[in-house]
Amino acid sequence: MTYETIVHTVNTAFAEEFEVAPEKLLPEAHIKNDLGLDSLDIVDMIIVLEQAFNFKLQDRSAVANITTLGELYDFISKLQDLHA
Amino acid sequence: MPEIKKTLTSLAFFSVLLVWSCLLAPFGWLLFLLHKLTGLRRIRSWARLAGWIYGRSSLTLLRPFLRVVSVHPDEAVGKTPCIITANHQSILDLYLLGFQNLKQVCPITKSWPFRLLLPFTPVMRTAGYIEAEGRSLEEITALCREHMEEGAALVFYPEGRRSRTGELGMFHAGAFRLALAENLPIVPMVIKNSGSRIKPGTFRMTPGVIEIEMLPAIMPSAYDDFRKAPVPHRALLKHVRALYVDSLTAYAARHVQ
Repeated sequence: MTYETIVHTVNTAFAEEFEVAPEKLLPEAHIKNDLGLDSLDIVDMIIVLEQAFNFKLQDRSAVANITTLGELYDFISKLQDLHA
Repeated sequence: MPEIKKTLTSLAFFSVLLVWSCLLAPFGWLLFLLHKLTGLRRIRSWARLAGWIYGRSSLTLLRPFLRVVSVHPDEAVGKTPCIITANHQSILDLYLLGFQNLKQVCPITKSWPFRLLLPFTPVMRTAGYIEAEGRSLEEITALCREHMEEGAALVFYPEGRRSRTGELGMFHAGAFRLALAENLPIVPMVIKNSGSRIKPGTFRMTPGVIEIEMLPAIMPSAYDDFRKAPVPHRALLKHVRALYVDSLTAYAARHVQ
């Protein structure tokens, strides 16, 4: 899976599941402050992304520490490399 | 409307609201004191009733400025304990709870109503209105259970904050998690037009009509379908949000014509 595919899959999940406007889905967007997700939404986000990518985000606490969309793309990309 | 007329209208509106609030506030303080002195649980339900009466009477008194139209106001009656969800556009939305006919309601809110509606903070505390900010999900759930045991409806604003644009915002999942966990019916209350009467962050009001529509309750018997979804509470959330979108879109279309 390419980095662009990861970006597209994550952005689609945010837009469809959390009703985030596509123009807000920028790498520098802060997940809580800019996109409006709260801590419970982030738990849901992890489940949604696990389904979208079809693998477990092994260290969920590490995901909880991610603050921006760009960091999330990078995290999934690295995880993808580990699974490859 | 000319600027000076808008200013005078707003001044008159908030003056009437302030005077009425000052007249009713001592009854709230009395309930607060009674509750402190006796600890009687029944006083909580009196305080919830007082909150409902305050909302209803205030907007009834302000009818020359604001006319509230209620559609299916009895929908939540007889379905308690239940959850009422409401979209959020304006400070008026708390008052609008008085225009649905279930009198025992407990809003789950941010901290600002406790700070802004200062004369009513004691009665809100007595009624057990739940201040969600800074509390964990477990704490909020425990507080909700107390009201459920007393047969009250819990009122959630799933957007979490007033919409700045008038558009329906993202829904958070708390109300829907609780509904599934506790098998509570959900009664969606759709508020139409309150944001254009008083915009968030301003004290300018524009006279006109506000409509509230209570949509048909979603009963727990319907939850089995949602429980089959990968994230059940998100499936329920999406279903309820879609009902809001449909209702608000139909209202907007009706009023453009």
